[in-house]
Amino acid sequence: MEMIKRTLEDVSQIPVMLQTFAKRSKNVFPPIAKDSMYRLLINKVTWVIIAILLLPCLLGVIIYYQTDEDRQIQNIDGDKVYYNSEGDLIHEEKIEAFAGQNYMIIIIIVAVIVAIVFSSELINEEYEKKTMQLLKTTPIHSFEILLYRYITGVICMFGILGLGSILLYYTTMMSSGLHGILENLDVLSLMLKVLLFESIAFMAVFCIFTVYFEKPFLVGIIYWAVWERIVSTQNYQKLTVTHYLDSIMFDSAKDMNLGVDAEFFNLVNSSGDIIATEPLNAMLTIIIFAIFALWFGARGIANKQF
Amino acid sequence: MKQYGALKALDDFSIDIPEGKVGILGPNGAGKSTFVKIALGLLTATSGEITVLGEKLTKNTVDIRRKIGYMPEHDCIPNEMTGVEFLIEMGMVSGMSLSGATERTHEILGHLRMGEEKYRLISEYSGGMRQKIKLAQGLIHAPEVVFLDEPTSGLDPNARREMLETINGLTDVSNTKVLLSTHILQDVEMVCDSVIMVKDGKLQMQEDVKTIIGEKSNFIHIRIGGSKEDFIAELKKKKITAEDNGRVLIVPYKDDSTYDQIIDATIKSKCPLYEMERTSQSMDSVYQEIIK
Amino acid sequence: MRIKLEQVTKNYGNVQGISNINLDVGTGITGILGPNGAGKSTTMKMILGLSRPSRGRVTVEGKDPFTSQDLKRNFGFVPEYDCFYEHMTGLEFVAYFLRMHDISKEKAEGMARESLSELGLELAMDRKINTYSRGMRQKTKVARATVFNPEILIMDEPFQGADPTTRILLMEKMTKWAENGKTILVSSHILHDVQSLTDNIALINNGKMLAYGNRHEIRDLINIPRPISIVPVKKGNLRKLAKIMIDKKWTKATAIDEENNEVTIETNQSEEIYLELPKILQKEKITVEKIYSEDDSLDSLYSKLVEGAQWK
Repeated sequence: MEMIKRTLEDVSQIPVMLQTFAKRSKNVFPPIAKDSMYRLLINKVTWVIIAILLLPCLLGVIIYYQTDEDRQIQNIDGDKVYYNSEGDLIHEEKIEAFAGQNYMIIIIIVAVIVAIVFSSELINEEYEKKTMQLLKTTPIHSFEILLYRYITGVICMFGILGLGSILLYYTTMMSSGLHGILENLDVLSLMLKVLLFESIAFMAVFCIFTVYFEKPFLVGIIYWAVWERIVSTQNYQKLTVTHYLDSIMFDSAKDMNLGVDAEFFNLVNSSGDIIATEPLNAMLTIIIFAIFALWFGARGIANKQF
Repeated sequence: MKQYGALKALDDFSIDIPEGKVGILGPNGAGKSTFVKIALGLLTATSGEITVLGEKLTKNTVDIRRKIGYMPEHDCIPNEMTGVEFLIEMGMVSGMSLSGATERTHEILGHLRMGEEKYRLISEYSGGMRQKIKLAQGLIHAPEVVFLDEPTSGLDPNARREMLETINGLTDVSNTKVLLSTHILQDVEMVCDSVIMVKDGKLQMQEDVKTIIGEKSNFIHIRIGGSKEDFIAELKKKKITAEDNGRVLIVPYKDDSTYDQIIDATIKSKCPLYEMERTSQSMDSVYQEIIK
Repeated sequence: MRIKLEQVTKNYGNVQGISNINLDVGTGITGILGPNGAGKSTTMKMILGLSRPSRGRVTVEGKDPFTSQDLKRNFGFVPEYDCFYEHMTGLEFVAYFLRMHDISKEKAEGMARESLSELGLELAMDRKINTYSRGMRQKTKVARATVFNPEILIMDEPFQGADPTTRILLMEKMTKWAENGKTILVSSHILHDVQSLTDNIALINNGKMLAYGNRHEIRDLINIPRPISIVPVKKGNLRKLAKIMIDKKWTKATAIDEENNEVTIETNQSEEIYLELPKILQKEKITVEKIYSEDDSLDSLYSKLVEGAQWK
């Protein structure tokens, strides 16, 4: 009873609180964003991740120079279209490589690591360095403490992964010439869309972990391996982030005729029915989940005792 | 003289360190640690000459180091050993035999009043005990001079008093000379025979502690009960102005008759007289005067 | 502002926190004393709302600091440990927290600059904190905690590692803030510092509040004889004085210290002596240059309370 009453009181406070937050955001957000971004950029792990992202790009460049001489060119309506020695369209071959699991899996695994590293740098470090105690003696709300770090984290994560995939796209498609690059931009934009929602979702998940657990890294890895890798292929996959990301991908991939089906994305239940979520609903679900996660994380910060 | 790049840490620094227990005072970055490091042979002076215990430092660094003990400020003791193990090892490092080092370890720990704790792991030690182990480590090879860097830092009042008593006892038992660097001026008042003040790499003062704190000021501090106003009014009748700082009354000292007049005023104003004292110079005021 | 702790108990698992602590402090400086691990920091954290009592009630101006966000506008906290964004400069660090108080960039920087300069960091404030010495760190912490002019200042071991120059400067500042009506709670292991700052103390040991209030009043509550020492100007009066005192009914014991030229008597009726002593001295025409009680020093009070408290 007491809890319900308190929750109701909390809820009734929300509009007033949001107003206060909005009013002071111009003073609170910039310094937090600036500092968070700086901390993420001077973190060594960030640069290791960037290096990992650059490796396949480098590979793309090497392959480009090795296969350069075998290409054949045909002019169609002023566009240069490239074929390989067997007479297949290079850009079709390449885009399959790009969209195919090899590169995707790298980006997805790296994304999870980025989310864990960033969230623990932004929040766990503040506990370790005890600056959280100082922050908690300032008049800002714990939701603000978390929110602005989260937003900066999402921006940085999406920025790094996004730039990484653009570069990867470019280096992979290079040998198919300008025509090939332009032809498949929709694949790239799908990739960016998925990365954005992935950033939003995973940063939120790991923010909760860093607030509530002493060893967020370990918990994060276990969560990902068990929940997002195994449960996400089973009947209750709608409880996982992966399901919604896959749904977004599946829908667009259908339109692009990439030759993938629901089974490829594990979007089927044990009786073989397709259980993909509408992409718009999937996006909405992710955003609502993120807001809930932030609220939950903020409560964790507020109730934390030192 | 010692120069770090363009930074001069010690400048034309000549000092003859007296016997007994010597306190070294000065603000952060004044050159205290540089001086000590040079004296220990950890750094070499850019120019000039140092003689430690009658021997030129440049020649016999190793020999001299045998005669010097050092208790560093920072924590530098292994957690996974017991106190006894650590000290025996340190003794053997400085060239003792196992039995000699063992004997010496227990002797020192006895002086430091370490009981059964000495067989426990250092990681379980309290702050005061860690400091003691650090001190013991500096004394293990029976040095002629021991240098203590902030030995009481972070200790609570009881642990601090015990540490100071230990340092005092040290010189009684073994005649070891002590150089004490500290930020706590009262430590120097309580332990040291003489004091050195260093600022900007220069020696500012070298003086006997007793001389410093024995010097009387021209003010009498009085603490009374009852009505302060009545008492001040009584003093006023005697043409004495008392200043109230909220905690004590401060009255200027003219001569010994001032005392009698204060006594008279307390009787007339019916105030109980709790404290009356002509203040003497404290290390605080001397330090402020010299370092500012 | 008024800080009140009523029957406050805090347990951390099986680690001792504090138990049944009562405290009521108003404006001015109050020194919190006690051995390491006695519960001083825990008490401070409760007041700051960083921690919540397991039992009992903590209020600041009648509000619960753990839930009241408004109250935090008035909290300046100087923690015992280092807690910095090491990559920031001192100026950035102080300004960062000012902005958390909803202050614009320009204003925050101006205020931070002023506060840091006042504490003698003009030259260092544009350097990164990871290059700072301990004294500078201490000053930066104090600047951060005081720059927005808080009503309540909680300082946990602010003098730790500070050189005497810094210590003296901080003490001057604290005295000034207290005069301006701020409530300051300060803990320090160096009793001498606390003694020269304030007469109001709170003594904590083993998680229990042994006493709080004016230290002279606390001493009077302890029911053990008080030594009173008298130093006559003329050494010849030493024995005469001792003889007079020993005949008085309130004297329990008398001792003469020839070396320091003083007579020490022990008594249970110190108030009477303090009233009667001047009369006796005047009557006998003995000029004395010093009257004091060993027990009036904080050192003595501390050891009496902390050491005697083992079984209480």
